[in-house]
Amino acid sequence: MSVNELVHLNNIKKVFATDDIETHALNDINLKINQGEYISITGPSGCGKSTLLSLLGLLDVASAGSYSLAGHNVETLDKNERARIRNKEIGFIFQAFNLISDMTVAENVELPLTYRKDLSSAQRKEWVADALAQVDMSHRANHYPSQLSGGQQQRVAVARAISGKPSIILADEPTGNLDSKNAQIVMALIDQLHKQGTTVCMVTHDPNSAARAQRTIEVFDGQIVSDQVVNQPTAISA
Amino acid sequence: MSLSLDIKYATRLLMKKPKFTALIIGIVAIGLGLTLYAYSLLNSLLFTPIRFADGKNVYAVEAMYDHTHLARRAAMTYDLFNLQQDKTLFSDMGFYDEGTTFVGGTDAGLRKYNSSYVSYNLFSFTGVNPILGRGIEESDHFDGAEQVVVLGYGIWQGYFNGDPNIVGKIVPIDGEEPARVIGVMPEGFAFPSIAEIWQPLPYNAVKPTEREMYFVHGFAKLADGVTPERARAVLDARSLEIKDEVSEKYPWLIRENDKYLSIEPFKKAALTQYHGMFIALLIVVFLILMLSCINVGNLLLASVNERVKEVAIRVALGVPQKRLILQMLWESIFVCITGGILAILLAGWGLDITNTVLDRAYEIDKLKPYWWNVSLDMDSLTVLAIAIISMIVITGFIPAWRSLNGDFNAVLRDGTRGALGKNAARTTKALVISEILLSCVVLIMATVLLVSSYGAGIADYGVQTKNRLTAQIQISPSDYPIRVDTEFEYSDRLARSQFYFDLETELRAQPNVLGTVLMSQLPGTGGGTSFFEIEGRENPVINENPYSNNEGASKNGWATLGMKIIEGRDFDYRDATEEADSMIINESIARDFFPNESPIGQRVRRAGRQDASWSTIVGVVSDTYHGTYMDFSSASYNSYHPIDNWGPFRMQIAIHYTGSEGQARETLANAVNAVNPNVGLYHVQSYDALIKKPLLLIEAVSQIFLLCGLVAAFLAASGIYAVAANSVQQRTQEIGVRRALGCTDRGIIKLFMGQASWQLLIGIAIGVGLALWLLSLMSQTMIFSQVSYILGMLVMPALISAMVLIATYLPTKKVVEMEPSDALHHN
Repeated sequence: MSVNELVHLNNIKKVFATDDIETHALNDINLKINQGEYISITGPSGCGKSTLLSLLGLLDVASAGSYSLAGHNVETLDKNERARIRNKEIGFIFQAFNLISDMTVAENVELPLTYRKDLSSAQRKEWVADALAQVDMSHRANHYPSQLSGGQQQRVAVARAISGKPSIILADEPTGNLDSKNAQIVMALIDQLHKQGTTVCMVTHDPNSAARAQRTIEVFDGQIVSDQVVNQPTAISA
Repeated sequence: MSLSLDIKYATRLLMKKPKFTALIIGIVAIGLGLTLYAYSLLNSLLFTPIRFADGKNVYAVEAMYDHTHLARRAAMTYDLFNLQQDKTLFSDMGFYDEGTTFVGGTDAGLRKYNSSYVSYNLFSFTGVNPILGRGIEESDHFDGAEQVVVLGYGIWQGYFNGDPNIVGKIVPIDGEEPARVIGVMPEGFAFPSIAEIWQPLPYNAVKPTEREMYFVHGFAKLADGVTPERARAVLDARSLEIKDEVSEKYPWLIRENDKYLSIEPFKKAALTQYHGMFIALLIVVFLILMLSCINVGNLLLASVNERVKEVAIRVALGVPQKRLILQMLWESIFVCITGGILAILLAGWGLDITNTVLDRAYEIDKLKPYWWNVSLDMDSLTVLAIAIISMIVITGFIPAWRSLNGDFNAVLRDGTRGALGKNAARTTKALVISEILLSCVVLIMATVLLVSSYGAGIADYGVQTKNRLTAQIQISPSDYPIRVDTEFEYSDRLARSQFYFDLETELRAQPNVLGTVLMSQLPGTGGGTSFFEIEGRENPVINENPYSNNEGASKNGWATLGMKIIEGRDFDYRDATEEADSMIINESIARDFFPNESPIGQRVRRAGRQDASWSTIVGVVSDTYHGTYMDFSSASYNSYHPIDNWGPFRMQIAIHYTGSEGQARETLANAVNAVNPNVGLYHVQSYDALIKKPLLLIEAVSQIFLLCGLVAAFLAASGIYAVAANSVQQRTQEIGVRRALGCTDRGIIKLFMGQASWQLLIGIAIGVGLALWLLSLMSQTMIFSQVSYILGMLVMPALISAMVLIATYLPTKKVVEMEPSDALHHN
């Protein structure tokens, strides 16, 4: 394992079994992601890219193969350990924003922090304020998601993803529900996060978004068919 | 065309899920069936006014209902007569009293009938004419007039075999007293309530010229333009005037709140002490209907939630709002109308059972008012139609509202998300809280009533009831006349009492009789209290004196009931003198009012009556309880008086026997016949049946409450589970998000259980408050046991809490068991 290796997938398989039919969503996936990398995963609909992201984010378990995150084997962890890793190490950005409608913007951003025991209430407020400031949504802290536009909701989702200072951001079609202007704003935010040293792994259909990454992985029929470095890596900040 | 398409589509949706459809139709049928049943029951028993051919409502005019004196109170004839003369208040008014009459003589076979002593205008008041002969006329009331009777259809057919020449014949009544039959009333006529035979009241009761101790009930129709409220105000004012008139001679006539004369709808007056219970029943049934509506609405809402994308597509395609609402309503219309038809069958079945139960309950004494024959009528069907329409609106509105208020753009953009957000969450919370509070009220009410009536049935009344036979004995006044206010009065009373003593002697000589006792009302029955004052401790405020129930009792009979003399002596020859005025008190009075002294030799008398004589306490007996444990008028303080110089007209007898009850019945009948064959013997029943009798109506209503409770529990359990499961399912994605953000499974379950606990707390707090309020309405006339309160207020909320927490835990656990990625993409 290299010093900077964050993710290592080895011969990962994922099979969905429904009634008599078995669907092989992923087949023999081998993938390494280093700290600070900016990766886009592309491919046609149903190729398995979102399943791959779910496995990376510990939202699902592989049918076979091994997965090591930051040097720790994670497929043997129990549900609580996986939840703890998701909380501390991973930040999610979803296509559908997935903000909780009953909570204000600030409460949504604070939500992952409330699952941690190592933060005081004051610290949480401070981290929330920082995250909202980063996405320029501080002025909307007390609004509800339904009072925001789609672009604003996704900016809040980005703030929520980074509020816990995770090792990696996993974004699933982050601009899929946005118009081009808002898509630009959100992508700029993700670029900014990467420049600050955050590892980003993004599933996208959009070639423009994919082109912003340093490394592009193409998935087809459950397999990685192409893995190319297209841009120079950005220096990892200390 | 579009209408038929919508109907076809709604039918297809319902047929697609037959179990689901059967479930919601079943819930609707239960909710509507109970509503229809309860309304029909109360309509027959209470709501529909009694009206005759002229269509005017009939009212009862009498003394204000007194909770301490059991049931209704008659008013002084003088006061009712004065009201009758005021034609600006009542267009028509008459009087009546109820009693028991024995028809037939020694040879013809004595038979007991419920009689009504009435004023001559009863027949013109009702507009119902005899089918044979005539009704009572004014001249029949005159002193010295020939004694006459009008027969009911039942007695004419039953006792006189439908003799077409019965009119004009002389029949013996109450022993050998001859009375001429002057008419026969048509079948089914029993006004004022339970009459099987009608006799004229004495003239001084119909046309009194001065105030005297004679009391009757009134029936009346209001004059044109007079409302019941106006009549009530006039009677209140008149009561105040009467208060001044009677302040010296009859101060007890007016209650402390200055109330005396009252007017109530005729049916309501017959059920005053149970009015609160029936209204509570109606409220409970209404709550169950609401519970059904919420359940069905919620199930249809769940169905709409499953079709949110389809609805979104329709909206996107430009469906008009009205059409969308109508489409949502079609399912409700189909479900509610089908449920309504089933409800008619269910209610009809329930009413049939009720008629059977009521007939059985009053089989022995025939004291069932003639209008207590419950059935479905046009009023009930109108209420059903209104209930169905309301149910369609309520159950259709919830999903229609859901359909109209969704963010369909969001749904179409992202098929995996529900789009109601905050409003949906609020609706779901409101549904859960409503389910909790409604089921809480119904289950608490049902538990308190059931446990109390069961407890009253098996309570310890201080007497032994095993192998005890009871009966009512009524002498013939013509055999034992009392010449009041003459030198013969005392000896006449002794002679009358002697009959009872002879009967006891005869019975005690029988080998299968271990003992007998005679009381005006045996323990477990009667009740009703009077204030008494203790010599030297008189309180001028009547109701600040102690009070007790008072009964006449024979000598040497206590052991028959398992009672015993604790202090002093039993009644004996010393109490039979003209001057003697002795009494025996029970242990509770001795303990509470004579704690540091012997009560023997102390003197007491009726409070507030300066002319009342002082009675000397000669003994103390063990405690018994008179009246049922559920009647407000029941008493644990009891005083007993000797019957020697009283000469009662009617007494209850209890026999302690060996062998079979059938033999004991025969022994009793033979003994009565041997002592005086003209004496009436009726209501022969075991002591247990006697105690249970006053509880039969409460028991019947309690069984309805039990049914309501079971229905409520089923609706609550299924409804709460459905609402909670639906709520959790709607939040599946939220659970996925929370888990993606790092929340543990335990954290998710804790969160949902915490939210459910808050809903529980709110629902139970409101539900318990509402139940307490309803019970307080009923407790003005009924007593509920402490155990019933404990079970109702603690066990039922605990049961509901368990149901809610399980109903929340199970679906939450199910969602938590999904992988977070599945939850996030849950559709």
